[in-house]
Amino acid sequence: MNFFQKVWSVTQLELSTLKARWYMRAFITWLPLIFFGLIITIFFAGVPRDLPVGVVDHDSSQLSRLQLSNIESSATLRIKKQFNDVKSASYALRAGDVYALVLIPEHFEHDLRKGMQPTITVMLNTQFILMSKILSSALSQVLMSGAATIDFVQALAVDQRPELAKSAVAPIQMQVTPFFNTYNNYFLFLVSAMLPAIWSIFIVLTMIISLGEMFKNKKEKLWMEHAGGSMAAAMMGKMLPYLVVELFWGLGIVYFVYGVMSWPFAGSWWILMGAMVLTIIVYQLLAFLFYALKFEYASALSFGAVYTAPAFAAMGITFPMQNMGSVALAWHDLLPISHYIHVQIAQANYGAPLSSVGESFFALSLFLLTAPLLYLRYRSAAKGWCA
Amino acid sequence: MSFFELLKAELRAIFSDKDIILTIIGGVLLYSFLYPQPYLKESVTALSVVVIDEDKSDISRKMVYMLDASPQIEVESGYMSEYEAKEAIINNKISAMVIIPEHYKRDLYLGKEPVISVGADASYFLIYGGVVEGAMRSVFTQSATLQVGELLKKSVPLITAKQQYTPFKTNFINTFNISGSYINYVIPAVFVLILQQTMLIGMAMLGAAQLSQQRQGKHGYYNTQSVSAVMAARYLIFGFIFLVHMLFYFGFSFEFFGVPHIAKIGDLLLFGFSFITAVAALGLFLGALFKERVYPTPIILLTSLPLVFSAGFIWPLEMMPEWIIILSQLSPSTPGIQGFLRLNQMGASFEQVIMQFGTLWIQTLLYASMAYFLLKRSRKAKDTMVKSTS
Repeated sequence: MNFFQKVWSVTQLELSTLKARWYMRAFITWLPLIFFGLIITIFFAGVPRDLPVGVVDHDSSQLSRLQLSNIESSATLRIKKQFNDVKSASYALRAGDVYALVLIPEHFEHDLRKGMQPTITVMLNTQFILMSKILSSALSQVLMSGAATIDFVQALAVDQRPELAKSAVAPIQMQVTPFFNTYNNYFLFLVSAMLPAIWSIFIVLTMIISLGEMFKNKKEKLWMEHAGGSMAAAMMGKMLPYLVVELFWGLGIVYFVYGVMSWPFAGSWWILMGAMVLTIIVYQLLAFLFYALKFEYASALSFGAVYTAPAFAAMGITFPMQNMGSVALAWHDLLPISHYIHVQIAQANYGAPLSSVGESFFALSLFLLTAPLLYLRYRSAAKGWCA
Repeated sequence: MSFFELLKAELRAIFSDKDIILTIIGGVLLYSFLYPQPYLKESVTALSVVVIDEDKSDISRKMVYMLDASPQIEVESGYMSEYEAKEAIINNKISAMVIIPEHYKRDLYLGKEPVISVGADASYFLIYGGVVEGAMRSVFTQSATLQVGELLKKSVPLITAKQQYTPFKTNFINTFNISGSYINYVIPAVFVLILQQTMLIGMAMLGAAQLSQQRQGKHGYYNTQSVSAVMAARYLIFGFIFLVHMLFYFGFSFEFFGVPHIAKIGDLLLFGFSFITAVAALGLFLGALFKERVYPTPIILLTSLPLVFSAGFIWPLEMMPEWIIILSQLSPSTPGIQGFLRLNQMGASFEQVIMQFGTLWIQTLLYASMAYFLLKRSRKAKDTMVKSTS
């Protein structure tokens, strides 16, 4: 038997085990489907609409009502409730019933007409940062354009010439170009990173479960027999079927985001696929490592869980790496999925050339250095199984 | 066996299982230190931005200074073309570029409305938001300054001029998390989930391990004592350990990382006690559901991300389908996160979290009775097995 035949023989053994065990099959079939599906469903809306806002209108004049109807007509905002006083309004803010309050002062219209510059106060629930940012920009847009309308009308009343009235209002325009996520869509922003994070958990889990179920059922001797005594063949043959399955899922989630949801994909699928294969192998090796720490199924699962659970936080997607401390950066670097996600963003959003993702590929490759150590560790352990 | 001896047996069972200890002590301590690390700088500051000044007038230079002065932006020195700047953004060397057009000053004084362009990487939401916010402020300030200057030239008094550049002012007030700090945003919610997940893994592993021993015909306190006594002992021991963890998280860790905590201590304890009780009930149920100790960890691990994101503090509940919200109510972390955030971060009174409080107790009742039913049934199955073999 040559080396490849040995690997293939181990793979066939693994496939027949998978055929017999529904529990092991679940982790490569319907469980990923469920968990990827849950995340996709939660964020499917992509752009928040009709976020509940509370208002207190102490003036209830024509001009104050104009501001309120401006708020109501914004796609992002919805006036959930009009309160009579600030106390009951802030009570609702505390309960999370509304995410922001707009307070229009007494004599608003009167002060406006006298040029006394009244102040509209907006209270934001900044505990929910992402939502408060969306609300803050929507509300300032609505109120600024409300102010511009009033200003324009006032200037027109004085000057009678609309061109002049207009240029006296806002001399500098600002044009914002969001690069790479032109739609400012949160689905693209969050889901495209969250799915790979869950995917990395699945890679580790399936590999640990494959090892664990084998040792639990005392099949390790059979494993070595199929590998013809070669530990390298044994390890590779065990990894191979899951490599294929996880590559299928990895491509599947990327295809879903950029194909089915048709977000633009600027770069090379081949580079991304290369990063995927490398990421899978690296996580599989880490699964072997967690198992080798104590050669116990439950312990390996605990180590794997502690290691992979916070992957999303350290990726640097929600909070930028530029503002991370050294401990956080070290933790970021120790998670292969962080390097993968940089490749994914570089490919999907920037269409970056291979040279600019070289650093990420290099970082991923460093994890491969565990392979020879694991090989030696498993080979020496195997002497105990076959005795 | 007295109840006190039962408690001792339960403690021995927990502390002799290193995998359980790794999770319920090691995991809890590790995460209390590790999880806040990415957010230690609290908010996004000093993003490097290249300003391409094609006007090079005194007014455009003033704009550059103003951009540099805003907390979110640090202007990079050195010239770059628009193309080079975009390349630099791709390579993560800079976060954004701002272009001040040629004839900026001339257009301003001709009343021609020059356009300042901001290009930022929207792949990273906070970077994008920070740059846009900083640029918007600078543009608005220069806009206002110039307008006041214009009005002054028309010999309008300064006070009136200042008032006239906009008909009304808007004042945005941050409530609850005043600094907009990320650590205050993430940690109070994620800590609740960490407490739940580690407690569930520990309890489910222990329960499942004992069930599999029982199936092998072994005897121990877990099947010689009454079901309700074993359940009570497990609840008391795990409940006590996690009450201590909770006090450590909400007391020491919050203090250490500077997270505000404004709940009345009585409210927090009552809500926390209810949360831990609900998680314990779910832990008892899962412990009776899984057949072996290796089964609970993967499933509980996988539920973490969906649970965080369906709790409504990151993504609005209003945007999720109804069935997701109903499904998420099965987990104590959902009312738990919502209640803790309202009480401890937003200063809500206890009657404002009464829905969440009620949900926790409904969960407790539901899971505890299902756990009781499953454990009873597993013992009957064992008894009939023993009878049929003898």
